[in-house]
Amino acid sequence: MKARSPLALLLPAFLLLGLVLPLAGCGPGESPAPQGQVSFAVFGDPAELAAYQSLVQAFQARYPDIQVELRHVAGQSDYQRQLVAAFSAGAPPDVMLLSYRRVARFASQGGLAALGPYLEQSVLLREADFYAPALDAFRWKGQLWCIPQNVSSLVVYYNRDLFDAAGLSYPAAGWTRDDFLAAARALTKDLDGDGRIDQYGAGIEPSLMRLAPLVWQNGGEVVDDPNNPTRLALDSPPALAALQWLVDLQVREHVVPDAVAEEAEASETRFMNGTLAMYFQSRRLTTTFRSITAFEWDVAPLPAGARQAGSLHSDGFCMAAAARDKEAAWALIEFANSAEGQTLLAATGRTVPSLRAVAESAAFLDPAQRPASSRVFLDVVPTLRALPPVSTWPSIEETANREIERAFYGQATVEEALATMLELTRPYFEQAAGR
Amino acid sequence: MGIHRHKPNSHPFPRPGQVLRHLAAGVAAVLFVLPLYWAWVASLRQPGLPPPRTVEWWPAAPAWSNYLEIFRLVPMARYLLNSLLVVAVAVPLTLLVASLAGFGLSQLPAALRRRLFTVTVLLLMVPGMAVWLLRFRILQWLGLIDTLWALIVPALAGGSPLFVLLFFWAYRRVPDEVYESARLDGAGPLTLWARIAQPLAWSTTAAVAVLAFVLYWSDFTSPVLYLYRPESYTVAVGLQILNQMDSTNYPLLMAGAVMMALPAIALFLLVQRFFLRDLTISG
Repeated sequence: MKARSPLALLLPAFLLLGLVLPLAGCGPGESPAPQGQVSFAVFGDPAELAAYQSLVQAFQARYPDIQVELRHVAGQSDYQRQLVAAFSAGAPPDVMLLSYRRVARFASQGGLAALGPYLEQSVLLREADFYAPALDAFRWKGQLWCIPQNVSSLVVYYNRDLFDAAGLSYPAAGWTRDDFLAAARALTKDLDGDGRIDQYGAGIEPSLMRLAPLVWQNGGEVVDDPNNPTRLALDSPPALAALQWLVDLQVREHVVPDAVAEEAEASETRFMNGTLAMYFQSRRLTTTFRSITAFEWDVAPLPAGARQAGSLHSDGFCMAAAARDKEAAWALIEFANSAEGQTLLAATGRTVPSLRAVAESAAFLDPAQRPASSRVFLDVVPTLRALPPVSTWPSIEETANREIERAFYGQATVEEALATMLELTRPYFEQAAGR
Repeated sequence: MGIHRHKPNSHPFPRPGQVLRHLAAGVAAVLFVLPLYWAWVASLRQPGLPPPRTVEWWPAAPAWSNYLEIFRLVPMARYLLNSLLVVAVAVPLTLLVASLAGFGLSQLPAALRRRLFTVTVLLLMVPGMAVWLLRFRILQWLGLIDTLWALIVPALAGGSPLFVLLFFWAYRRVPDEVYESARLDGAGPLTLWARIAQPLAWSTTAAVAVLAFVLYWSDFTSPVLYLYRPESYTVAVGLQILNQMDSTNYPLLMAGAVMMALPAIALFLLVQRFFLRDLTISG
């Protein structure tokens, strides 16, 4: 694989197929092991890439007749760009990693193969072994399109030392928004008396992904009909109250950095420097925060609203409809989501495994590793909800984020931002419905 | 630095105006060098620490090992080799094609020349994004997807309309009579280009060489779109991989950035005498 000359790339592939195909299906009485070539596209930083490489290695040891070609693009947006170009040119990767928020976009254009029938026939995987919210997020138009590798969600990372110093009790399951706000106020401080805040109580990214659980907790909805969305429903009283609450954290309470302070030093960096007490993020940051030595930290569930709700963050392995060796492609997806595969991927510390058995094992709940309360990620799983599958969702989210950000940083009133958001996202819903 | 030699009435002692000019040049130089210096300092910070809260002028314990670590973390040596291969083929090819095209344009009858000139300027305005897909199709048809040739073949079209225009302007500076008399002596178009036009355009060639080098060297979109196998990635992709790491590892990202900038800086220093010579000629 390494010695191939760049020019003669396709030749070995064809030669190999020619050699391999006539040999297929000779064993009498037993179903032939899948064979062929599978291209496998993933995104992520070097540590994640290393995990995927070990996954592919383990897979090749199990299926020596399948050649896997790992494609890796580091950044999410560059990865999307490559996928769109490859799909448009009719040459997509056979297996690819996709966020559930982008599945409808590719499935709506006939780019993906439905995986429901494969899962039904699988000996290795059973539907019941997965956390239901993760699997459900990858359903669209009655079909299952991808098998989720993780079931992460939004939690609150908090600096225990700052809570100790302020004499506050740690956030725990059942804490309310009032508890959160009281703690945030107490932890926002001007330490040197120069009139500028040096330590913030909280940090949260002003985005639809962060707003959604607040809306659901209030009993509102993000879209009018989750099964057949035609517009954003953020103008309902409970949703509006959620948006107002989020915006007030900055505009009225000043417990989170304002636009200038955020630009000067991002909330994430402030948390790592010990000058921000509570930070809203998914599991993704756990690995980064494990490098913190200056203070103790842990995670807590979101402060409770009227109802229990959280927002799902999940990526799944999907198969291109154009995949040549579908059996081989499925074998890879199946292996990646088996207990063995998910254990390998969980080693990065970034994922919350979507298989109950792996999530409950030491691969995830390793007591020697921070955060001590990793179980929080599993406790909230039953309350998780997904954003709706709309083919134009990435554009809708981008537009909404811009307006939420304007309101959050006081550049527009909540009402103005909301009106603009509804107006600008309408065409995307129409475009999606037209398909 | 030989610029003021050509000033008429040059004085043996520096005049206030000259002092001021040197001062201004010094300030400008500092402004341009400062980011490079900062990148270098940032690349020497210990990885694994939170990002600094203020400007660090010199790290407490410079971590020179960062420059080795990036080669361990991503296959940077392979990426460097690929990038060098690409520029080694693409830059000379670009110079050849763009200069020939520019020369051809300069020798056309005025009406046709103006029309083609307009077309070239219009091409300059086409955003790169607009050709992504078409290029993908062509490369796919040629069987060059996932090979380094995918990054090299644009050189066959001169790399960028700007390069063609730069050569065009350089060749237009030569009076028509010079070409005319050479033609009367029996010189063919290629001889005109090689013997008359090109020797007068070395500074432009140097400038285009640097620009073309930077274009291919820092091209990130093409490898992302047209290359799949990590073995064929280039340094720009390697830098983007380092960029995905969290903020505590930014020193490694900066080490990658400094390493990637060095060849471009070296090339500029190497050919700068051509620019300065041009100043001398036109001054």
